Amino acid sequence: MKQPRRPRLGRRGVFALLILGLPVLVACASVTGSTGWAPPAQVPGREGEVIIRNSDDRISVIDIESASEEWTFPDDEKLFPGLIDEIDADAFYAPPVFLPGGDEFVIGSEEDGIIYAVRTDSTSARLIFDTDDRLIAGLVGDGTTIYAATAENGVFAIDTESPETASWSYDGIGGEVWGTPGLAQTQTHGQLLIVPSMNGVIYALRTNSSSAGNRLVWRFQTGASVASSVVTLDGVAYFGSFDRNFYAVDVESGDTVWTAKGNGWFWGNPHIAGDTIYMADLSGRVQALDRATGTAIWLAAYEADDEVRAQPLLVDDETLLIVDQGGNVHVLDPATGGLRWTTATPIDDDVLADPVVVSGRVLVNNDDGDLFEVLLDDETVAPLFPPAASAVTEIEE
Amino acid sequence: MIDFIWSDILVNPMTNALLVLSNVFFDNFGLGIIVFTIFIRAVTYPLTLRQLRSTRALQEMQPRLQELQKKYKDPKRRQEEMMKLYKEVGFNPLGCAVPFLVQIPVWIALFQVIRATVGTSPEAMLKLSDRLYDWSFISEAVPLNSQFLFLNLGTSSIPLALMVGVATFYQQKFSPRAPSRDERSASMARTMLWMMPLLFGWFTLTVPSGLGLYWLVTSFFSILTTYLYNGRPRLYRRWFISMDSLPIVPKGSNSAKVPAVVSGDKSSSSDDSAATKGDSDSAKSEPPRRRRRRRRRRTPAGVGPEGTSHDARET
Repeated sequence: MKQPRRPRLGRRGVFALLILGLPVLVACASVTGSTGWAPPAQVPGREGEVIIRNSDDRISVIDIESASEEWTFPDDEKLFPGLIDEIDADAFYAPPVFLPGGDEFVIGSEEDGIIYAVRTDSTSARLIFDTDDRLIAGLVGDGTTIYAATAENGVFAIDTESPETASWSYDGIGGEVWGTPGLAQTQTHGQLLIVPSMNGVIYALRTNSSSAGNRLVWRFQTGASVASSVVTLDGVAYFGSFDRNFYAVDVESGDTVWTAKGNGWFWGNPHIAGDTIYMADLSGRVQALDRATGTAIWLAAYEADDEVRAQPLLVDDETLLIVDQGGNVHVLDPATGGLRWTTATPIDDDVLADPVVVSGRVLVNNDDGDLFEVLLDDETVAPLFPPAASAVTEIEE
Repeated sequence: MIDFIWSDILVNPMTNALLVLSNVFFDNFGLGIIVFTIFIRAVTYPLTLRQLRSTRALQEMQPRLQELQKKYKDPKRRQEEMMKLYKEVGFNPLGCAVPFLVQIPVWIALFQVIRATVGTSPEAMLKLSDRLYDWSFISEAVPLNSQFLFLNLGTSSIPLALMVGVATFYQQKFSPRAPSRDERSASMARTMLWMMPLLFGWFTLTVPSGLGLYWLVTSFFSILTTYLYNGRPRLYRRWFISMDSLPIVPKGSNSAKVPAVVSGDKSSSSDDSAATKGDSDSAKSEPPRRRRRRRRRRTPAGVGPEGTSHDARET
């Protein structure tokens, strides 16, 4: 009896198999890319309007009352014709900075490092400066001057009224800059820009020096990378490091005021309220420290379910909000650190952006760019934009 | 349980080891990847060796298997005879597959480790932080220096893609394979010879150079392993550019050692088997240089200048 011939893989078959297998291979090999974690920001003078990171490569102005999108940047072809072809906006890590008057904000994206000024009435956008580098750290505004610290090329001071050429630049930063620098006024050196760096060094730069050689005032060495932002208050700079220490440094001298030990890397920004500093580390541990001495007021008796990158948020005297990476929202007692409640259902997708309060409402942006509202009375989280399917149906009816 | 084994026993220790190596080797992530890949491949070398031995044994049996296939049309009977032959020469059909299968998880883990560490975005760093041990010198090792020679290990590179393509081409050429018995198989082998380099070259173009560097080192290691195991083949300039794989003469292979195919139900005599085994063992115990000389002497006159194997000539 003749045996049926076994089908064999010919040259075309091999070719087809490889072509089909290639996307799978590439998908398996994909490396975690940039998505950004810019938190929502209220538009000055416009009640209920917020600017959110809507997806990896665009920002939107949202009316939170009607949960509707007003306009987007840079891909709105009517408002910004051709701009989307010029900007390779890949990820936004920091909120926009509003220029004096509040009619215009500046923002830069990670991939191309181009800084744009956009009018809030959406009539125009203008190029401010091209850093020609990755821009992860947030911009720092000082009147009409903007300070930009890039991943590799250093620090730029840009006058937004005569843009495109930096007023000054400093290329002596030894590592990438991921955390937003802080501004501080000193008696001896005038105004200083305190720049954190991933090489573990904090650099204090004079902003008003006319000579480049005189720019650096002091350096402060930590044990590992510093990715958190520098918060300055009353002559002290506060920041956390990957060496699991939280530092308070005197901005005048660059000397240590105090250090506090954490349980994991410090990445999120501290929240300072009066004499208390609230901070969380990537292990999920939350602490409250005395701002003057660094001694622990309390150490939360629990740890968040997941890593905490987002900044703790003191909503009122009774509510300290912690959002972990898994989207779980925890509310603590600010006085004792005791857990009041945790949302039963976490926010869909990762949460890395800081929560904010806008018009009395607590907003959280997730990794996908969706906006959620934390309903404190209900102890739940509700999608705000895009609105939930049920809400859309109601509106249509 | 699976997640624990995968993460806590394989991927996380390997990730931390890679970071330590990068730190030790002058804070150079590229050197870290090279040393780490070689180390892992060296650790799994005994398994690779077993696989190579089985492949060679299969090569040596090819003429006899072909004869059995011609002789027995009934698949069941043919299978029985093949199993007898395997038993006779002491070949385990799983000998090729098992070492390969055991190595696969390690290779995938190695690939994942490098994938996790080459990311230069803050999100990649966040993910990496989850895998790192609570040791200060590991915290100090990040972020990894992504510059290595002319490469930024976090982005793709065209020169590296070309190098991976060329290395894969020669890896394919060096790979031991049974001589093709029909035109279709030969055609497929030739297709693979140029398709695989194109595939991996293009693949390298779409991923960060750190992964491309891993592929490059892996290809070099495979070429070296095959070279060391099979001895130095006689190479001619035209072989380097031809689309033919190098038919490798297995060490100590000789037609005299391959027992004659027995017809019908008869199997080869136990004496024959013993003699074969003895021969093989004595060949193994000899120093490689002497074995090579002996192989040359035994190779019959008329063997092609490209080192065509005795098996291939039989066809």
